[in-house]
Amino acid sequence: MKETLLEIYKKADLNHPVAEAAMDFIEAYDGSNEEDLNSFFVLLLMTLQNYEIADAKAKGYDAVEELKNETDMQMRKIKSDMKDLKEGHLPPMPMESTGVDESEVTE
Amino acid sequence: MPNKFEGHSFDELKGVSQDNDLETKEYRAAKKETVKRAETPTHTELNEVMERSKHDERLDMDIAIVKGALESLDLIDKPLDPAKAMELDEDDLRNLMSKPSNEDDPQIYFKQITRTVKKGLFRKEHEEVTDEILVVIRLNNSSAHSKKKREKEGTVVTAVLKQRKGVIHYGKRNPGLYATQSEGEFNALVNPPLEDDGAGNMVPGEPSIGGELALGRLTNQDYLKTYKKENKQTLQKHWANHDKGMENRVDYWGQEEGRNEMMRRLDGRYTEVLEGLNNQITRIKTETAAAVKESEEKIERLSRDPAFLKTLWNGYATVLRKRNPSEAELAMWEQLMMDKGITKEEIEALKAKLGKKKQ
Repeated sequence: MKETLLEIYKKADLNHPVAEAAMDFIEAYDGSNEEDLNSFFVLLLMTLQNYEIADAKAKGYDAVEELKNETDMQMRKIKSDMKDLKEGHLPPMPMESTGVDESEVTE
Repeated sequence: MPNKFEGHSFDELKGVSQDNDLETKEYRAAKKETVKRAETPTHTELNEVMERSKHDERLDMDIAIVKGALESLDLIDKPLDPAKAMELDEDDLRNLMSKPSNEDDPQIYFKQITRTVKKGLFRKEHEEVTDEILVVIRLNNSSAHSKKKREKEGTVVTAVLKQRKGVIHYGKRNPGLYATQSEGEFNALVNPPLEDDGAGNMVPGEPSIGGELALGRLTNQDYLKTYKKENKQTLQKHWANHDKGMENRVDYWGQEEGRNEMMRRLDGRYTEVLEGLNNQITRIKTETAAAVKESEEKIERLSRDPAFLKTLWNGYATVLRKRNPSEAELAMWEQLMMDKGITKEEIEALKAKLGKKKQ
């Protein structure tokens, strides 16, 4: 069991002191070394706390990135429509519509 | 069908329209004839009439073509028979016009319209099949061998219609969207030109709202909502303006007034995109700052907990007692302890007590 866990950690190739501490703990673990267990879980707890902050920031960054791509796309479309109109190319006619109450269209 | 406008100069036509005399007996007869023989004229001929028709008349022609195609395949009030109407996916639709058809009769294709909905506790996305279908009718009304000519002469009708138990519900009494286009126009909608992605790479462009519809991605309501959002007015309003313009001019949208209105709408879209961007950025910044603050407060609360501080202290002592703790591990622990308010002096004192000196 210990060997398998160590192998996995090595394969994960994590360049982080917490990973190092985890490997030390696994290596030394014999069921009685409570102090090592304590150190390891304190580190794990604090890593998770930091992860929560990093995750919140990453989500914000991703949302901005997504928004940027959406806006770029919309702006490119507006730009190309403007260019078409200036060059005298009219956009195709929209669809003809039957039997729909457009007052229900909210957006 | 003889072209009723042939031989007339543009000025003459304009004169006719300015006299508000478009609805002459002769012209009405021409339109009636077009509706009656909707399968036979080429798209160029059909388009001549459609361009000069009001919304209601355009619908008549669309519906006549749909009805004619369904009749020719004996599909009126009958479920779509896979042997007569082929189901297509988006790739098939993109390639539909790439080859000439060997058929003389209209061909009907369809695609079930699905929409993504979020369901359940975790708002997982699901594809839901709607009761609407995209119907694409290729009239095969061009006998041209050249691709370029065929693209102009061949007609394609695109419609989003309700279906119940496989039977298409069309006509003015049923909700539906219709467009009559040339094969070339349909092809351009489903295959938007390549675009620069901003990093110098040419990638397939995003389809327009018409393209999205022709690819079977939009329901009737989706189209109306998107149209309203993109054009700053409802589709109903567009056609009302169009019809009003048609009363005075042969081709309202080709005139400066019509173009200026489109420019105004584009300007409105531009402003809205920018305002939307600012609002969204503010929202994201506020939400992110609140989430970070909440996490920091949780950490802060725990940092004042004596049991936690004792555990942290013991953890560091355990590392100091190790035979060969790495510099990185020691530095990390010291940083963690200082982050929690333990002074450098206290750390040094503990190190001295346990006989380890950081080098």
